[in-house]
Amino acid sequence: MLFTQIEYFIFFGIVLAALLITRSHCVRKRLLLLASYYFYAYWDWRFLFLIVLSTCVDYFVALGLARTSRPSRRKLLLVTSVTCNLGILGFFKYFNFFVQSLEPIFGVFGLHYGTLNIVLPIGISFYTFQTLSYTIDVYRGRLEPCRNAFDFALFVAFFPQLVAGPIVRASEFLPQLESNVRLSWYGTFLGFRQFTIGLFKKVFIADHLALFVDYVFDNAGAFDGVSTWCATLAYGLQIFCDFSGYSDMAIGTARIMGYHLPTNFRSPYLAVSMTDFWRRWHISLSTWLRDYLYIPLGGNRKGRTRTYVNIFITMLLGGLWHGASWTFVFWGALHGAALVVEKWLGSMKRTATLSHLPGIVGWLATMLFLFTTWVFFRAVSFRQAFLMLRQMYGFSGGVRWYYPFVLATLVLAIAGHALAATNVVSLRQLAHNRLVTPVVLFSMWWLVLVFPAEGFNPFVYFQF
Amino acid sequence: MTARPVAVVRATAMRWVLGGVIASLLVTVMAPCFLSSLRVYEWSPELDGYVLKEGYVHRKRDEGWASTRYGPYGFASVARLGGSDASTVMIWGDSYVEAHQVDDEQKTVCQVNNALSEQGLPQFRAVAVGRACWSVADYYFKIPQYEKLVDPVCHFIVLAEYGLNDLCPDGETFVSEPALQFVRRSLVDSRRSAVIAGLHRWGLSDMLLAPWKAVRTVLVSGRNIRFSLGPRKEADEPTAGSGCRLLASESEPNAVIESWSYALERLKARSSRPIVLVLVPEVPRLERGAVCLVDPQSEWRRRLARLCTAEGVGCIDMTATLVNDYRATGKFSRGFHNGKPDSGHLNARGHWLLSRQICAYLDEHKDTLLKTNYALHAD
Repeated sequence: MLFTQIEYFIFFGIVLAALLITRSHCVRKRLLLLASYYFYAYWDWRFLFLIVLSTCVDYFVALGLARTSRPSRRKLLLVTSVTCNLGILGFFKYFNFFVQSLEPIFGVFGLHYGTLNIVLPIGISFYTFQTLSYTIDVYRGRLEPCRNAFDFALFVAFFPQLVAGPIVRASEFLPQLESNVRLSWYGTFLGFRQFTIGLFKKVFIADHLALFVDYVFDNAGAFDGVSTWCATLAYGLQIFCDFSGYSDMAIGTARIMGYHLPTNFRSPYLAVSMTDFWRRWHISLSTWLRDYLYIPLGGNRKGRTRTYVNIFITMLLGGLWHGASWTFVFWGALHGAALVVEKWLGSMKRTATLSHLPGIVGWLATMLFLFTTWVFFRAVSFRQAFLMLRQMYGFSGGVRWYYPFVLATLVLAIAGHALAATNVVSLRQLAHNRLVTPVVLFSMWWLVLVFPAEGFNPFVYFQF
Repeated sequence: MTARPVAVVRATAMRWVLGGVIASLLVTVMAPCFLSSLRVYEWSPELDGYVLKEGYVHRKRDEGWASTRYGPYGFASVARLGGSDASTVMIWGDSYVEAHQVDDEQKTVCQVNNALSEQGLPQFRAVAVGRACWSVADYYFKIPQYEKLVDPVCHFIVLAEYGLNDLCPDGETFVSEPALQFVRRSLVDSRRSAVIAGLHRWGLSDMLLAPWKAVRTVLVSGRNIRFSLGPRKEADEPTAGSGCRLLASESEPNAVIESWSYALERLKARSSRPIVLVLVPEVPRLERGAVCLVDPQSEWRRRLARLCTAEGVGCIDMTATLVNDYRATGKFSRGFHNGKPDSGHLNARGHWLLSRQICAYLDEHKDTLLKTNYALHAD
C-alpha cells in the first residue's frame, strides 16, 4: 500500500478513527500492531513471517542478553541475532547478486550454479537494520531490553516507517510506547503539514520528473549533452523528492497519531562538502552506519590510515545496502573516496578542504561530484552510466529534449534552495496561525489531484 | 484530542475554510492554462452521432501545446463546408488525424489544402474526420453518412496507431468470435456529454476544469481499489483475437490476413469511392539509446500492401519517406517536448510529410479520381 494510494487514505482514516475512540493505551498499541501487520501483508502476506521471525529472534536475544553477564554467552547471542538478520537480508537481497558475481570464478572449476527466482521482501533492508540496532544497543548496555513483546513487535513493524524508513532507533521509539500518547490538534496540524508537503514532493514533482529521467536513462547516449545534464539534475531532484517525500509522509502520519519519528533530511543540496552532505541526506541511515559499522570497525581511534579504510569500507557497504548491484557498490566507493579525500585534506590543514572553501565554491564542487555520482546510482549498468557521462562531459550531440516541466522545476528548485540557504523561506513560515498555511497546503492537494502522473509510481527506495 | 476554547476553534476553522477557498480559486484560475479542455459534443442528426460542437476550440496541453477550432459537423479547421467547386477527399483516422497536438495550420488536412493550391491542384480539397480511439469499424459505420454530406471522390484511411493494429480484431469493435464482424459503438457518453455541453454553454467548462480533473483522479484511483491481502494477481493476458497478440506472433499469419481481407472487403462494400490506406509506421524512434530506422512490422506491411493490390485498394507506405526525412534533417516525425521526443502522435513535421504523400497520390491519380461519377450507397 503506497502512501499515495486511495486505499492508504481509507486505511489511515479507519486506524485514526479507531485510535480516537479507543481509550485504553494498551488496546491502542495492539490496534496499531494489527494495522501495521495488515499494512505489510497488503503487499504480500507470505513475507509477514519474516518480520515476525526477525521480531522473535531479537526479542528473545535481547532478553537473553539481559539475563546473562558472561561475555562468551552474550557474544553468542549477539552473533545469533546478527547472523539471523543478515542471513535473511543476504539471502533475499544478495543471493543472486553473489551467485552472478562469482559465476566466472565458479566457471573456472567447472561449477555452474543458476540463480533463484527470489522476490525481494519490501522494506527488509530497513527493518533488519532497525532490529539489529536494538540488539546491539542492548548488547552494549545502552538500552534496557523491551519486556513487552507486543511493544517490541510494534517498534519493528510500525507501519508509517516500515517499508522505507526512517530507520528508527529503539531508544527513540520504545519510550514513546511506554507513555500514553495523546492526539492533539497541534500534532495533527504538524503531521498534516508534513504529510502534505511529502505528498506534493512525491506525486507532483518526483513522479513527473521520473517520466523524463527514465526515458533519458533508458536511451543513454542518444540525447545531447544539455538534455543529459537536465536528466541527471532532474534525477537528483527526483530521488530527493521521492525519498524525502516518503519520509515526510511517514513522519507526518506518525505525528498525527502522536508519535515522533526522526528527521531524515535537512536540505541536503545545500551541503558544502560531502561530509556535510551525509549529515543532511538519509540521516537515519548515515548515523546507523556510523554507530553500528564505522565505530565498531575502529572509527578514527586507530590511526589515520585505518580511519580512511574504515570510512571507505563503511561507504562501500552503504552503497551495497542500497541494492544488489556493482553500480551501487561503485557509487558507495566514490562517496567513500570523496570522504577520505576530504578527511585527508582536513588533516593536512590545507585551506583547500572543501569545507574550508568559500561557501559557493564548496557547494558547486560538492554538487558537481554528487550529481555525477547519481548517474551510477540510477544507471542499471556501467555501460549505461558511462554513456550518460560521455554525453554530459563530452557535450556530445544527439537528440535535443528540453521538457518544459523539468526545466521549470529545476529553475524553481535552484531558486528555492537559494532562498532556503538565506533563510528567506522555511517551514516556520507555514505556522498554524497564518492564513498562508492552509492556502499553500490546500493548493498542494489541488495540484496533486489535478495533475497526477500517469501509471503506477512506487517509491524509488522501495527497491532497497 | 485536547480541548480548545471555542473562540480559538472558530478562528482556526475560519482560517482554514478561507485558505481552502483561496487555494481553490487560485488553482481553478491557473489550471486551465495547463490542462487540456473538456470535449464539447453535440448530436448531429445528419451524421447520426455525436460530433464536436461547431465553434468549439479544443485546447491540448499534455502532449504538444495547441488549439483546434471545430467547424460544422465536427470538421476540424474547416470554417464552412459549401461554396467550393473542388472535389472533396476525406482523410479518416483516429487521434493521429484528429491531431489535437498541433495547431490547425499544421494539421495534415490544412497542409494538404495549402499544398494542393501551391501545386496547382485546386480541383481537390480535403476534409478530415478523426476521433481518438476510432478504428476501422468506426470508419465502416460512418462512411455512408459522411458521403451524403460531402460527396467525396476518395477516402484516405490513416493507420498510425501501434502499426497495423487498427485493421486487426480488437475484441471490441472488431470481433473475431464466432466470426469476423464489425460492431457499432458510441465513444461518447451521452449523459457526460450533456453535462459538459451545459457547462460550456454557461461558460463554466474552464472554471470547473480543475475540480472535474480532481474528481476524475479520485474516481480513477478508486476503480482498482483493493483491500485484500497481497500479492496482487498478475494482470490478465490480452484477450484472444486482440490485434497486439496477432501481430506480435508470426504463428498465425493467416488469421491476420483473413481479418485484413475481411476489413478491406467490408470497406469496399460500404463505399464505391476509391479507398487508400496510408501506413505510417513508428520509425524513426529511439530504442535502447540508438535511433532505430527499421520497422519491426515491415513484413506485415508488405503483406498488407500485396493484399491491397489484390483487393483494388490503394496503399501509401510512408516508411521510406519518414526514414529518408530523418536521414536528411535529423528530425523525428513524432513526439513533442512535453511528451516523448521521438514517439507518440505526429508532430508538425509528421503532418507535413503525411500531407505531401497524400498530395502526391492525388496528383498521380487526379485523372481517374476526377472523371468518375459515384453513386451514393444506400445506408
